[in-house]
Amino acid sequence: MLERRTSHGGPLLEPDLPVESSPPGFPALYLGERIETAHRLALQLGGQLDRDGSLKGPVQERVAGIHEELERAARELQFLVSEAGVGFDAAAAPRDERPEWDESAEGVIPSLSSGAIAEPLAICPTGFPAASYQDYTTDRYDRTVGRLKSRRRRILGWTLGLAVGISAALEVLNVLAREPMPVLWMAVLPVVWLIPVPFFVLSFRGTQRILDRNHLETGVEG
Amino acid sequence: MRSPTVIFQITAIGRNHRAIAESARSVLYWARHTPRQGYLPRLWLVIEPDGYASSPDTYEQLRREGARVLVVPSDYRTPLGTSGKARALQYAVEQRGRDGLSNDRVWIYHQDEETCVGQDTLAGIADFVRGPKLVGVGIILYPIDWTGSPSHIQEVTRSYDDFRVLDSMTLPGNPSAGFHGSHILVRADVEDSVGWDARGYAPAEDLTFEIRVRHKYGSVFGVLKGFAYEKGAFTLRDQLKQRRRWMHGVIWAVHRSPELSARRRLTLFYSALSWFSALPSIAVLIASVAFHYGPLLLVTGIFTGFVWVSMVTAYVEGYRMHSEYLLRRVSAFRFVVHGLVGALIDALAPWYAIVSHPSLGDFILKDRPTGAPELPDVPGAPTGLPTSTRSGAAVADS
Repeated sequence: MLERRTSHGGPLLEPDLPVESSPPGFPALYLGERIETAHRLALQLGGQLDRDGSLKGPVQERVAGIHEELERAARELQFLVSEAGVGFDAAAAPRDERPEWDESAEGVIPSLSSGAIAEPLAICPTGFPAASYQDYTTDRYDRTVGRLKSRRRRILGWTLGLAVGISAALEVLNVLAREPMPVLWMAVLPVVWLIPVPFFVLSFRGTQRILDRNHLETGVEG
Repeated sequence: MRSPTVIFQITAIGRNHRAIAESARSVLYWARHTPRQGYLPRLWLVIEPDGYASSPDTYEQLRREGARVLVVPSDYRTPLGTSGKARALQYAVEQRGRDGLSNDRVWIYHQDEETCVGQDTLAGIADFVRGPKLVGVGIILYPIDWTGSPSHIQEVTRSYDDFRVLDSMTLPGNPSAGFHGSHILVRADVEDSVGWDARGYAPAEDLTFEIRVRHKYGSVFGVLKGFAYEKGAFTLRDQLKQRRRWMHGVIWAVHRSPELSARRRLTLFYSALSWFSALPSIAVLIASVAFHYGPLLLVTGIFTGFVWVSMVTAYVEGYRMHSEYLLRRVSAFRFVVHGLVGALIDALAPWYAIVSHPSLGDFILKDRPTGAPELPDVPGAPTGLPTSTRSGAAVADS
């Protein structure tokens, strides 16, 4: 059992946090909470030593070192959760954040702690190299839309610049060709080309507007 | 306050059971491995009896892994007698009513059989359900089983076009007529009040649904962050059949949707007309060389540059959006040639729709046949995946 006691008798860790073995490759289910608890205790220790007048010299350095190490550990865990896309499930959330869910209802996805772990299907049954859904991370998404948003002005400039350039070249070639005016009925034929122009204009404007006005990245309001 | 519930609903015939299994497992995987999203995830598979019969082991395994498998009874009839996917969607609506899940705390995330989700999809859903909008639509990528074939190259343009769709959807009146049938999130009470039922077969039930929601609730559409991950048609024939169904959907809506306002009818008609104009445009281009009517092109030439650049931009930027997810790269030459072939099929599709009709038996393969030739690893492709992923040595089905 995890329960340990300080000299004052207070519990160091939540007494009911079970020791769970995580699947290979996954951070332990309660690691985040353990780091948080250790950090809090280190802060309390620092405060206590400060009040006692003992927080000086090597002791002060070591307490500061513990703070730093625990902060690094928390950041590394965050990296594991966000980068590798693995981490805690709702069951590991603090009790006051847990929703009142009936996990026994049919179709409710069982949590990791229930023991049912989705089998990674990183295998393409076809012989073609296929990206797996395990690669579809928030980080990758944010990077993709972030790059596109950063190119918005460049796309605007290139589209308009090239459009003017190509159209101008076509017009010059047309004039230089000095072709005779065709019969009138043929005039309707090139009009076909004009039909989709409003659609392309709407599309171009809409794309620019969405990229400009919306924060498409996750975790950003709007 | 109770946390919301999100039902990830895959609605399909069910015969592409490997694609469905992968989609379902993407939900199971990320729901279990994404921390603190703040909603209860549920997974429903709504399939037809013959789909279930095609691989009962797969569906029973998915049931054991946490999915709820709803097989639409073959004798089920909707009040208006619709058929096809709309019938299955309506069955799910009624099931939610029976389960007491038709309320404003429940959201439905619609997936096609090949719609995989990622960590970003779940994060986007979590963000959306906290907001004021009632229907969310996002961007779909097509990286799964991507081979660089003409139909797959053509598909990357759809992802870039989704920005137009998002913009149009979130504007009053949906001026350029965009919508999706998958990667949409709808609040259950909204969906259930509108329903999917229609008289007879509605070939584009998603468009009909959007028209109804807009008619009843107004401009309640918002941007859903996060991608969905799908796969393009494997063959040009399937690409043609898929587009034919879309065009029939538009024609159906223009002719038979009673909720469609005159303005939206005109918008839809124009979008169909634009699509129809693609093939004659190519013909006129060829004819211009033969008939020498250059002087007439002085007018159209003003816009030609913009149209051409817009089309090329869709390919280039669409491919860039996919490049983070593709394990294969194609050469520039192949990209151009396949892009032209894919575009030609898209130009042909509406005319094909005029001379032929989709049927309920229109089955588009999404399970890539086993035994396809193995392709070599491509330099520059992302690494770090298990060897079995890249070699395809092992087969995982159920």
